[in-house]
Amino acid sequence: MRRLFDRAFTLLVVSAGLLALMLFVAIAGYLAWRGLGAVDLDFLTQPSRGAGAEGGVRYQLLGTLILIATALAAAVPPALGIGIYRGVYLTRPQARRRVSLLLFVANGVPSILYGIFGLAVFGQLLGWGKSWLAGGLLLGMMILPTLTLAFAERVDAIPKKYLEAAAGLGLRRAQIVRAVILPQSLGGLVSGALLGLARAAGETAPILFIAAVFSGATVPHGIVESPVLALPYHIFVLAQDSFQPEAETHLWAAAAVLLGVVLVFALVALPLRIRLHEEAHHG
Amino acid sequence: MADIPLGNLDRETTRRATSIPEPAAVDVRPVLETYGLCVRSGRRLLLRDIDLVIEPNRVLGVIGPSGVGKSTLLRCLNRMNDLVPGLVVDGDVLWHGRSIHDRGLDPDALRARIGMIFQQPVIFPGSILDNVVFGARRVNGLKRRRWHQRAEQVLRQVFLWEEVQDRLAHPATELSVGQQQRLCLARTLALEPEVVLMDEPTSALDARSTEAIEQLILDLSQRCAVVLVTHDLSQARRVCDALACLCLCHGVGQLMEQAGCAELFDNPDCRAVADRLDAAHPPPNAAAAD
Repeated sequence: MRRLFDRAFTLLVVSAGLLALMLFVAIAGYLAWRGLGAVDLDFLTQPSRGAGAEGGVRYQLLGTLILIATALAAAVPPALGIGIYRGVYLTRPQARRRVSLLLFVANGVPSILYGIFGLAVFGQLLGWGKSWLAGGLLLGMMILPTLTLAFAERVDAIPKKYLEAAAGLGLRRAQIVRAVILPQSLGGLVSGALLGLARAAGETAPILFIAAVFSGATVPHGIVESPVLALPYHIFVLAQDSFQPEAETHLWAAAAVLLGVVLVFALVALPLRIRLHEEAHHG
Repeated sequence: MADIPLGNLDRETTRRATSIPEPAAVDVRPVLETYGLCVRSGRRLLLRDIDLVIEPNRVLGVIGPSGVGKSTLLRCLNRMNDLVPGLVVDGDVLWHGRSIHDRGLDPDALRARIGMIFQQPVIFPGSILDNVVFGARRVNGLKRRRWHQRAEQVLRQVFLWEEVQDRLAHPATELSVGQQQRLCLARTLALEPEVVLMDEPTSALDARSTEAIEQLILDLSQRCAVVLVTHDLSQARRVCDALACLCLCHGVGQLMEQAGCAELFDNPDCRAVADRLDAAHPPPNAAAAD
């Protein structure tokens, strides 16, 4: 009976794993089949023409990278700050739980609400209009809970003995953070950044209001009224509004490029995460 | 390291065997004193009215049954208990006559002067050299060019230099548990502490490593005061100058007796010591009666 249960459990777990793998393979395979044929160097380096039916995605790719880089730069410092404050300076478990709860709630806020908030604050209150900086900051706010939670979990997982030993040597709290906590938890920040950026790269709703246009933008030169083109918005408009067959090919090619961007993040982040883990645990 | 069978020798015999001179009785003013020390966790009292005296260049053993609060007492002496949420310390601990709870006294600086060795060696990820200078570079601002020299100095003090001199850049986790514990001691000594608190430092070690650590404790008492929490009465007899015996009274840890090692073993007031001595060496008539 126990053996039967063990086999059934193994089958269930393996099936769940295979299902997840098959979902990813199906999405990636379909995108590659429909779009990869049109992706070449020209597609990546040429600006789009003819309402997206011709040319490439040069400025859409650039705009997406600008938005993602800004989001990362905006989200990492507060994620570190909140994670360290929660894990080191908040000593009462109840207070820690409350911060975690807030982060989980913020993580679940629909992206359209972030978009409306951004429109009210950056677009109307600050008068930036459509701005790459507003989009980057808003995406940064959106991924902040993901980053912070991943980082905070790693901080919580640091064995207490390290903190006690460092405190026993007379290190100040800031020194313990620098010498013990950060080296052991940066891997969590990288994981969180990967998850967050993958989400940010594909978000359309927040940037739709305050950062992205479909055409007419190149490299931003200022902040106010300085929008960018972005891959998700490009895909959204092509999928919604274009009836030309050429545009459909470009749509799938742009989607494959977006998937490629996310995969490149993973390929860069994974070795970095492994290296940080190795350094943190084995020196 | 001198290979000395410490066996059942007492402190004086060990001193003679290891050529460790009797410490000069120049300054016998206590380094640390506790007055009416009580520790509570929520409503539960853990320790009550502990009055303890720790003298320089002496090894004070703290003995008592499991759960009596020996480690809690030890952590009161360098304010490590401040880091445990919900633990309240009443009474006072004086360091050179000054309360360690004074507003002007920096608890981090106090912990650097009153070092601590834990039950299990705690090795930071990094090389042997990184571990030795881990505290000294951050607390005392030890310059990088002096790391090697300082590391050699303290590694020699803990008799580890010969074993690791060729692999200072290797990960410290490669060392055996006994070597790791000596490395932890070297790391603490690099800060030149006045007192070293040791919380059952040999409980995770084999007999040979235990001997090495005991030898180090004897050697260490030439430079600073040592407070050693131990379960092992024969170890206490071998390395301690004085003993403080804690017992549980109505579920609360209390100091029953603090006396010289020989005095306490020869004529123990403390029931726990008397019981354990009886268990180790039962009187002849008891065996006959059985």
